[in-house]
Amino acid sequence: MKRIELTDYSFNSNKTGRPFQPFNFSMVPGDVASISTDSADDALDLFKALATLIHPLQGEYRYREIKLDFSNYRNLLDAKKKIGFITSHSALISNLTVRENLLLMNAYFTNSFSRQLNQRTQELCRLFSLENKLELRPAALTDHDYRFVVTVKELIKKPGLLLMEYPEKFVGIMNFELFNTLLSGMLSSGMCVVFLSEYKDFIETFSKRELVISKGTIQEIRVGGSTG
Amino acid sequence: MQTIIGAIGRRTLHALNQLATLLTFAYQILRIIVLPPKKGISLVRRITLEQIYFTAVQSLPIIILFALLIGSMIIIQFSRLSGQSPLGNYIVLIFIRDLGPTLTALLIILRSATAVTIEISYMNVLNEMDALEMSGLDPLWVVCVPRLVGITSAILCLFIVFDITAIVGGYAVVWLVTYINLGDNLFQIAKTLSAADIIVGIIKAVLFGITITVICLHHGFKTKQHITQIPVAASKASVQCLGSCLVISAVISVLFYL
Repeated sequence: MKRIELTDYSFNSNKTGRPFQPFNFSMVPGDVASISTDSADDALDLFKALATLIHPLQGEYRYREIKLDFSNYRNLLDAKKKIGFITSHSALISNLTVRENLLLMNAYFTNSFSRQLNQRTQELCRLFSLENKLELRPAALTDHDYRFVVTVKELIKKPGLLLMEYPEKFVGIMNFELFNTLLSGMLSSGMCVVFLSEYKDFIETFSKRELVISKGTIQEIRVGGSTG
Repeated sequence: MQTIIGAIGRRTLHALNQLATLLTFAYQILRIIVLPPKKGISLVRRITLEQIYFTAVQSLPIIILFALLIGSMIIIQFSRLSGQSPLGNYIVLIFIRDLGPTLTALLIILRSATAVTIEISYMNVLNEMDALEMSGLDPLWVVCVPRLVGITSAILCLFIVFDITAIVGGYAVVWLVTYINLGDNLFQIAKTLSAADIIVGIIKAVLFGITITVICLHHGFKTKQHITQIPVAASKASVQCLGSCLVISAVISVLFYL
């Protein structure tokens, strides 16, 4: 069963408005693909397209075999909440504290206002040293801590697809080894990952496929294989 | 000549297009209120209560102060005419039919509407709307509905507070600080006041609330890219809110009283 499948998919760049050539791309559970590009903006556009934040010009997007209906943004919310989106476009809600941000989905989907973080969230907060910053608002956080909170918030969603732009920046060098162990565990439980990184070790350890973005075209290269 | 006609045509089309966009946006929000999703009810209820607190409760001291000042000023001025015409008629005419809802709306525009535009614009520019969507939350449900319900009910309540304070408080202030003889004017007001006057006031307050919120949210959501667009959006929204409220007030007055 494919986790995501994009067929003859094309979309406009958010920044330049330039269209990307139609491409095909699919992932099965546990798949990992890295992005190789000269332009980080192009990679961010691809991340946004995979997160359904950019609507397609043509083509079909299937998430867990279900065709996504882009005619109304509300039809996409169920798919969106299962996609971890850790990029420079990710944000926290500024008038909520870190704790409230982490509990927001819980409050919405379970109608519960419990202030108690579950065990997994507590462990992730401990990993990123956020335990003492839970009552702060995002504006009071350092850039590092802000990115850590974004990472924790997206990981506690237990996403089926994780999109990560420069994980080394989001996770931090200090936590990188621990994060790699965490990521391996999540991959073995069936999560798919698409990432952009400058860390060769990280790419070599995890990436099985490579997406090359160049001049509006997206091509896939199997690592150790041929262009697809 | 052709250029002038062309410019007028373009402006008219632009205005009609904007009106259609606003009406569609209002319809979408009202549709969610009528057919609410099951998810997030408690969260939406909580945000609505917070909005009512920010818009109604925190505005109360300002509304009461303004109502007292304006009420006493107008009662002093009109008491000079009380020999020629019953003062109660003027008071009903001015406060309950027109001045009450309009001034309440003006204060809400100055105090809360600009704040809502700025808040929503910031959320948009800082990608917080996308963050809500990525968490599976519907921005129309968790952001727009609480503001629409909160601001509309706040205007309705504040309009009632404004009218009562302006009339009763205004009389009290005039009685306390001047020697003007007010006679039985409060009884005249009670006699003159009809159900239609109260209904018109309520209709105006509700329509003002919906109009102000929809315009502010619309301008907030339109601000996409740059933080420098935020003050422009706030300014445009407040001017548009005021203009729209005056037009609505005039149309309702014409419909009911002419």
